[in-house]
Amino acid sequence: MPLQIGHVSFFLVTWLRACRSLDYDRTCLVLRDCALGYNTSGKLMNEPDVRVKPKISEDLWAVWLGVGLALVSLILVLMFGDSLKGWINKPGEWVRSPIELLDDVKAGVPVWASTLVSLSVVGGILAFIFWTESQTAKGLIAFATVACLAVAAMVLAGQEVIKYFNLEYVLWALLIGAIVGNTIGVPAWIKPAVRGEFYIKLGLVLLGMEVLMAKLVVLGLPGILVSWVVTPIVLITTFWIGNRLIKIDSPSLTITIASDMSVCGVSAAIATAAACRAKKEELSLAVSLSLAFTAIMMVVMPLLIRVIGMDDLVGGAWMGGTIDSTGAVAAAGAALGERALLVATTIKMIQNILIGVIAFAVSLYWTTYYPEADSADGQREHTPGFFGEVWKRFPKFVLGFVAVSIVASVIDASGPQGSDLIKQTIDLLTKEIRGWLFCLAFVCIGFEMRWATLAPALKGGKPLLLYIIGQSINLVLTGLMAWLVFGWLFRDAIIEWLPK
Amino acid sequence: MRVIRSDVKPWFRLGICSLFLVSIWCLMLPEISKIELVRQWIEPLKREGINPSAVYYTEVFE
Repeated sequence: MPLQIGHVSFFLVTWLRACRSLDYDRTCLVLRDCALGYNTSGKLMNEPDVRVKPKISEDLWAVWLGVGLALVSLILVLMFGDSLKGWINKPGEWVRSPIELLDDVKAGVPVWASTLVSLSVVGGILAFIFWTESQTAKGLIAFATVACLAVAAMVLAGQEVIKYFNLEYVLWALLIGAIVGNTIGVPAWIKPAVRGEFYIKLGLVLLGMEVLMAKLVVLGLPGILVSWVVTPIVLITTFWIGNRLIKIDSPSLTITIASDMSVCGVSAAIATAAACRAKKEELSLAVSLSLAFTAIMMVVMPLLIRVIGMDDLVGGAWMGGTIDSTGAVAAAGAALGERALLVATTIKMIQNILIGVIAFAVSLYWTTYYPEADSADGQREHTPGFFGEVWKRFPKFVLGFVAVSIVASVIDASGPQGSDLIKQTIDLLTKEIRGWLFCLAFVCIGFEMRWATLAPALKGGKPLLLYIIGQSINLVLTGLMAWLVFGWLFRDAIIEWLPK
Repeated sequence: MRVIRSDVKPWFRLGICSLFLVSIWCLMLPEISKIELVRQWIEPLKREGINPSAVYYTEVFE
């Protein structure tokens, strides 16, 4: 039967609508009907009896958009190189008044302008998702509001004292979100942009660009021994203690605390919490615990090492393996001296790089052993076969994270040019966008935090107890391994490499 | 998530919280940063170009 103009327009409109709502089945059906020349006036116009699948999950969006953003960043750096410098940035440091930031210029670009460009990039990604949900204008207004709060958090984090005592922007993003959520509540019109999980997953896929496996080989055996013999032991022991001895109800809270304490603080907590689908308040609690102890350890450990007269190489290795946050490790290492700084940051870097392995292992373990931990929307749908079930529950963003990491590692290992390309891409584009995404995520998490529910979340002090026990084990084991490797086994080789 | 309420009290609470934050950040912290012990911690890190708030190793050296 020949197609009539009305049918063609109907097919076109329906197909576009189906595309827009990302309903794959329906898109195919419309295309098939069009190809066969069906008279669909009856069936399709009165809504088909095709089972409409839910829209594409945020998990998959994070993978595709994250991988796409990483590739586009690589291409942009290849095309424009250093001329991109300074355009993607965040507010810098200030001392007396945040107004100082208005005059702040980085790489020739005013910070206010680079902040605007950075948030426009994230807003552009969000605009695409809003478009698929037919709420572009509403969504962008909501995003602009959340973005303003994220800027406020970055400004608070930029105050000199706050910055140099490792009180990272995630803490202030949480606080600002929580203040808004607990006073005026979250207005309904902001909700389209309240997508904490999506920001985190997209940020983690981009973080893959910074997880360069090839660096491990360069960093050498001593660092790997300290980081990777002790770290898994502490991680697994703390998880076991939390579940079996302290009996914390939530295994996801236990693994998130164990991971941020034994691996590398906030970034490890974010990756692990997303991999095991921990609740938002569990992630907030783990991050707050970690930051509080990091600020103390960063100042106390170099003093303690000096007081007990510990060797700077062993001391650096000890701090690198135990202080949670990466920046704090560098600060503590610098307080002890040049060699301690190098050893401490090397060890922390190995732990940083291997959060990819941790996130992958945790997501696989959770998928296999905690079937009750289901998708964020709480819906379960039976999928036949073991692998079908595993695939269904597996957090897909981890695959994007690993894929980006592998591609970046291969390019990085291909030679000096490849290494420069990756370094430039990270420095000029991806690390700042990732920072903004994490900041937006924590503002959204803060929105849902309630002062009243914080006390039960502390579960009678059990998480604090777990952190203290786990960190004590970490201090003892890392101390022993640091002495064994840097004080005895490889001492001569290291002194030759790092003379006083 | 709680939906916005129409009365004035919530906005008043938000204002008080914001004022509290502004007073800490613009009055208290600048004074703290003048303390000698704090300067002794901050200055060497600034000289070395170390960012103690780095979340990941790629952010450590500014």
